[in-house]
Amino acid sequence: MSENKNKIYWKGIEERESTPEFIKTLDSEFPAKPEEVGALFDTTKLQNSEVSRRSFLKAAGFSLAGTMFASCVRAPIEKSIPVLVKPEEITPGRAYWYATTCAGCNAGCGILTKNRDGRPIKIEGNPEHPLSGGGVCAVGQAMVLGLYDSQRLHKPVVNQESTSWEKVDVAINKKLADITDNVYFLTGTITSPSTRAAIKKFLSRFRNAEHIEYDPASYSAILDAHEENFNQRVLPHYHFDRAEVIVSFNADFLSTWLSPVEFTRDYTAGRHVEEGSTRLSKHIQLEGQMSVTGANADRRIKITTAEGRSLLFAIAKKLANKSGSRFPDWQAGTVDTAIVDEIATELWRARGKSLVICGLNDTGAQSAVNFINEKLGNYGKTLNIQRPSRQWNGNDSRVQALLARMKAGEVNALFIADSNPVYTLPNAEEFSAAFRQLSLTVSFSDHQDETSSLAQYILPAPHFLESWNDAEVASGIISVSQPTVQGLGQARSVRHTLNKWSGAGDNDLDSMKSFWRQNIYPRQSGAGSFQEFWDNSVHNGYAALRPEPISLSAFKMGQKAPQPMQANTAHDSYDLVLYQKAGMLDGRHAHNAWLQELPDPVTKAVWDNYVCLSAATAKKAGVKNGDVVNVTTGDVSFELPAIIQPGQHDKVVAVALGYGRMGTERFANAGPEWLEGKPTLKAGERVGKNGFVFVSQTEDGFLLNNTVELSATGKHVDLALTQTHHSVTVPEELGGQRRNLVRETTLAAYVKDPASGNHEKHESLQLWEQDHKYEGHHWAMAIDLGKCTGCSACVISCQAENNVPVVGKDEVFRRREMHWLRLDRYYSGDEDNVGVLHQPVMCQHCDHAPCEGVCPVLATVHSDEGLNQQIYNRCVGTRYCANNCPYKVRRFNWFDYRQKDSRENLALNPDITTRTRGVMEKCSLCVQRIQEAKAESIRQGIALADGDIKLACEQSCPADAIVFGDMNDPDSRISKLINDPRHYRMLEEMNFRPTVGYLTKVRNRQDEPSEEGRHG
Amino acid sequence: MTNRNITILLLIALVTGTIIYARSVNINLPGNNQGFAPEQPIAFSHRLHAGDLQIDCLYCHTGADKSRHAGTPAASICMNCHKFVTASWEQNQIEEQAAQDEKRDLKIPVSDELRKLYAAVGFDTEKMKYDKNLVGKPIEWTRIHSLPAFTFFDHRRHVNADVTCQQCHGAVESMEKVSQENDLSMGWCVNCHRDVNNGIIADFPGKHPSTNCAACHY
Repeated sequence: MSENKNKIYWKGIEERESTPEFIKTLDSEFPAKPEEVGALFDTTKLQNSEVSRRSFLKAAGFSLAGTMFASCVRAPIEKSIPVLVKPEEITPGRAYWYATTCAGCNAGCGILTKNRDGRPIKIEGNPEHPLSGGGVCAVGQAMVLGLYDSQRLHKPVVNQESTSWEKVDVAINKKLADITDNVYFLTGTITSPSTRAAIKKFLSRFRNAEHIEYDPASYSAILDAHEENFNQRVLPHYHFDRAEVIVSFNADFLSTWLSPVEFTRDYTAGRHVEEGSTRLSKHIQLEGQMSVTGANADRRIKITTAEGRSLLFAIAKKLANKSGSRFPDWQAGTVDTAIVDEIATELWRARGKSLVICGLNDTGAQSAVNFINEKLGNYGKTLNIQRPSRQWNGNDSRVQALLARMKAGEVNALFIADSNPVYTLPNAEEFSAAFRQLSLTVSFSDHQDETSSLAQYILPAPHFLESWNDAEVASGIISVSQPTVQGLGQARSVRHTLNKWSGAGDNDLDSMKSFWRQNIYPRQSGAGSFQEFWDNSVHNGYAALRPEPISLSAFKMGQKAPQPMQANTAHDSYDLVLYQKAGMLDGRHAHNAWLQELPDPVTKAVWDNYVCLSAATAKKAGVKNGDVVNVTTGDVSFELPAIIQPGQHDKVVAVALGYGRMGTERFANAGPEWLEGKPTLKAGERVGKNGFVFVSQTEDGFLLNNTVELSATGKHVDLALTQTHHSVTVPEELGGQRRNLVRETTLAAYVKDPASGNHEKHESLQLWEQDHKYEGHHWAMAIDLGKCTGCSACVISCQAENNVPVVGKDEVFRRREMHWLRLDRYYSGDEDNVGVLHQPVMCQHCDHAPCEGVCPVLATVHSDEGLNQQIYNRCVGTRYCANNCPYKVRRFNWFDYRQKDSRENLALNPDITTRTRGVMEKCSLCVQRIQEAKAESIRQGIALADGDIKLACEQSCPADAIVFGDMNDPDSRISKLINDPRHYRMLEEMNFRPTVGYLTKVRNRQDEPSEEGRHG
Repeated sequence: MTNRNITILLLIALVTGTIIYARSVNINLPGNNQGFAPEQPIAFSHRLHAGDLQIDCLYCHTGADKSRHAGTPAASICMNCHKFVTASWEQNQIEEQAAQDEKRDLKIPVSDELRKLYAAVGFDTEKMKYDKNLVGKPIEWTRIHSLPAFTFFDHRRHVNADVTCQQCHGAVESMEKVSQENDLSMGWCVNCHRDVNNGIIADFPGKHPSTNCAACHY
């Protein structure tokens, strides 16, 4: 197989083209513009200085003497103040874990929170939870920082003045006494049955009252299509693990669509590659922009929105022919029949074991999807509507109807919870104008946001980590949230407030329990008493219930043909795809600095949104990376920088939602304050631009697509892209070429030869075999590139666990981001058929570590368990180690990166040192967790077992791609992986002997020959 | 004598004086708090409790075998006994004698030091009952054994490996006022770890204390 052409992987277009300027930036560790370096050594500046040489020496002498005196005194006297009455179960210094439910989005993943000294500091997945099963995404991980956000409201606000709950209760009750009808409650999807019941009860006293649910990134059409086809407005519960063929139209189900953690877990469960038990589903993704899901697909087909819909109809028709049924004549535009044949054949072959999904909020397209799944017999197998998902329940048409009624003056009172329509509605101005005219407006928001700041009353709702709640995320599975910290303010949950107004008690826990006793307890079996059931549910974080009976009618197609979607053929008009970005979602967590600094899994950009263009489109528009373009449709327009995105359809431009949120002005000076530090936002400017203004309204609801025109503005802004930071390069004298750091193969090649794509093996030399025997443990890690989807949960998990600071956009420009774990994203192939690979890279813990030899103060040394240790108190900051690290995983503390918001320091992990200025740091393989597990094994007298130690990145990985363990134990999971033919180590030929290894990615393809990497 | 010689003499005197003074007051290196024995807000006697009364260390320092921190005992632990014991045996004897002599009812004697404890937890000695309204501030003890923030010492691992408290903290049961016995420097820690590994200290058969940096620094 050595005759195969070499496949080149590249991180960015500038790397592929290897321009001299780009090569130059790789040589220096940090980029510095010549004028910046010059400024530091500007002698005229020194000569003009007012400080004379003499006074400088004086000051220096005094400082030295002062330091000497200061260091002669004893260490500062510390007080040790114990509690008066010690709670029996709490021992200071021990972490306590509570099971609860994540409310970062509506998916409702089961989580465990680590509590130290009465406050949560880390969120991990609950391995026993039936849906999320131990995984938790980046957003979930970051929720702990959101808890300590000092801009959260802690007291009710009336007409922009802070007040007390007593006064608010009296005032609102007085107003409600005069209102008898036309009361509306607008919320996001309410997954909590107890809150839903409280809203229902509250509204029951008014005539013509309605509870409307609205999701900004709407899934309304899926529900509407099911209502049309099955007479029941339900959202199916998808089971990707049971599907052998997955066809996804624009649905980014591994990153943001519906329930990404659960889907990632199921998806990777169906993609198991091991000799003898290989089971690899075939994933076909059709999309316009490059999504995380598309990056993982076995086959990715570029389409425009209209093409996608036409393809769906054509495939439905094809399958109707095969199954002997009839699909209505919904045809719009011409389609590539080869693609139709290919997909229809694949699907037909995997009848009952396939799954078709679509991310387009269009009832016609969703009906076609339902038709296909029905004809393939997938219902009840790979998707379930007998036990539907309850995660998203928004209804777009009712929101539109509400707005019409507001404008007509038919609304007396509007209550808004967990929703921000002034930000997310395309016609927000109409909404806010009508909203201001209402006689009573109440917002249950925990921030001063776009909507709540217009409301008469803001009644702050608590963070989910400080309140009781429940969530029936899928019919028959109910999750429980319990408070893990005493309320940081006086927030009161929506359920509590409404129950109080309805006269149903003033104790939130009691009212929730009584709801459970009446409505939830009768649906369970197993527990004897209610108390037992309740205790078990709180302890486990969830409970299994009998699903509520659901009556579905037999499948029938709707009578009405869908609105035709015009193929966008005009020369300079483009399909705009508004997408949710991992981390930012619909903008609800824009206040979270961790998420703002999380590099996008695909573009690797931070702190901004942008317009993704294909290279051809960029050329046509005459723009380069970072050039500002004007995006216009009708009278709506905004200016955003362009990013050239390989793999993007030439007729599609994509903009991330969730930016331009009110309150993000606070990040103008995020990061350290120093001489060269510059604000990254102008006064009053927000982070990014709001993409929701481009949402188009159809009969079916809100469509996250539009047709736009592009024009270059001639302006340019710098984009904070981390994609080519910390690139592994080989110097000219050692060959200078790129190494195949990521390896992949095809299923066909793998079946023939399990080591395909991974033939580059090198003899490893040992000089000190006798000196370093690693007799006890020898820790190692393996990362399965076949399972890693690039979702970035591990990045935030590592950040939370290891007190990794946020550096701000200005410092990211200087390549000084501090993430210990970065996700390298590689492209391969050419522009037309680009492949994407993700690779998490952290310290490789080399047994022959190049960093260790060059440290002049022995601040980085090897442990006898194979860990590359970084000793902060010894480090003097020479940075030699970082210069000598081939994997570029070391991070230097240029500053004391304290949080601007001092309350956010409460999220710091007390189990590790928070590093100070001038110190090098890097991944420690979570040595604090290793030490904790060892201490507990000694205390309990039980030997450490494989899997007892879970590192932060490993724990949160929804795909189970990261495995850590002891390679001296022959039965451990890690030993098995190391012996797997797919296992390789980065830069093995350099003989660094890293203990972190990777497993080749296997894609379910037949065509492409196996790729052999080039030898160094 | 010239001015120059006087200067030299003065300098020598200053240096020798400083050295003699420094030796007499036993100046430690920065960070070394050996011998630190501060006044505590309550004159608690380890000699009485741990020595004479032989109360187990773990009775009060409950975290020592299960947590990184041994823990300063909560006032509620003191109250387990001091709800009933309000003064010394001598004080009780004197009061009993006085009550007998004066032919009056026994008044419960309360020691001055324990009054501070009762003020903190809100214990009414007249009625021998807790009173919510009397609850004061937690007791601010002065921490004696303190390691730098970048050092993670785990009590649990040492106590469960049968290292006695006295090995590091000295004979606390004989200390009226606790003082820091050892310098708690890294050299002192590592010497013990190394000696156990090399068999010089033979009290811990089968134990291999780590001398890796990351055993304590992370």
